[in-house]
Amino acid sequence: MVLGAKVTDRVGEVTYLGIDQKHHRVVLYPSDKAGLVYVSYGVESMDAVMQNNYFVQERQIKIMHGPGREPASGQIFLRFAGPEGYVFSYGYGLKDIEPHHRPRQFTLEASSLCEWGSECADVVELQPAQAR
Amino acid sequence: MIELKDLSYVRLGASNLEEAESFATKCLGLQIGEQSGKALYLRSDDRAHTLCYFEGDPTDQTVGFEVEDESNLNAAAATLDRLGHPVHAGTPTECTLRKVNAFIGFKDPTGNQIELVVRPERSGKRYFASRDAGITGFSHVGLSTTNPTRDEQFWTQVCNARVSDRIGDIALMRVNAIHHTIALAPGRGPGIHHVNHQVESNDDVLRSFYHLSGQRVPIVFGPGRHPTSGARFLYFQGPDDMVFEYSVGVDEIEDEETHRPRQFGFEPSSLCMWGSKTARR
Repeated sequence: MVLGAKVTDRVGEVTYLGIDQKHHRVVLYPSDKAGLVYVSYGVESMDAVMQNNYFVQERQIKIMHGPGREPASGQIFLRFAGPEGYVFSYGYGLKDIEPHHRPRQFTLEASSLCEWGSECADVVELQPAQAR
Repeated sequence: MIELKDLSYVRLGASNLEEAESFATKCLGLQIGEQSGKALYLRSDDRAHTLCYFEGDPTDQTVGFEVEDESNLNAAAATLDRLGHPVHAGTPTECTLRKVNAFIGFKDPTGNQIELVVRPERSGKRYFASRDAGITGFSHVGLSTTNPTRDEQFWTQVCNARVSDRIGDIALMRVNAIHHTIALAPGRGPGIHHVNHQVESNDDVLRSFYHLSGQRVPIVFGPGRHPTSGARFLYFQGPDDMVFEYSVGVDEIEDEETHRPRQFGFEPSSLCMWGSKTARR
């Protein structure tokens, strides 16, 4: 209301918010604390997401979630651990929102956050079973 | 010249037919076309079968290719005979077991068992997968070679295969517009190196990666992308250590007359441009 964002979709109470033509620019994850769940950077292709997947594995950087794909936004993602407990993400394929889009409600379960079947090991906000 | 039209089937001996059935239906995602006590016929597209598991020695592996008609088959038999490859003409019983009108069997220079078939059966019933793997059809085979240069000559000079690309000395060869139907793979002896099925989308490749990992199927390579054909792929291991591949987005060679094979170095990045490494071989 105050900032003018629009709800585009929900997974349980996880809420995708759009402020322009993109599916989302902000995602709110229910949590018991304030803070960033992750910060996502767009990359140019699926190839880049997958190349980064093997790149971070080779450097023994912990992958938190993915490689995966969000059913709501279409975005292919790879979320991995940075220093100080921050999680970073690469994303590709975030859809534009259709003109007459109505927010959809997805069931709160792992396949609503990743349609490929990846599961998040360590971030409680990204684990539907914990969030229930 | 022996004119191969298309791949037809693979026949694999199975040490445990029940295990093969469980893998083929629950993991790989093929449809049972027909089943007897000793053999399992599996479908992946509109053909009556593209994979047959039969009770027997797992090293007994055969690839079938379709030729145009019976006169082409007879000419192929004469050519092979002249070159000193012993040729076996399929008996009516053997033809029934393969669901073909006629066939001949022979060995390529490495000793791989090859069959040339005429009028392989199609089915009027559409293929309906046993699991949502997104398979669109049986597409290519990897064949072991003990001498890549010699075997490339056999497939391209005795048969009509054309080289699409090479990785080191390994030729990827086509018999139609699809980038490759036969991939040679260096090995110590004869045998099928891998069996490829195409799937619909990138999503199918990655979904299967997580599904098969959850089923404890060994993933041997990928998910990855071949720089040669452009295909996204996943290799995994089935019964009796046979490797299966899913792939999507394999290029078609559009300039048949002018296409020149590209040479890729024999290094990991020639096999996967994403950076995945093979777990074996």
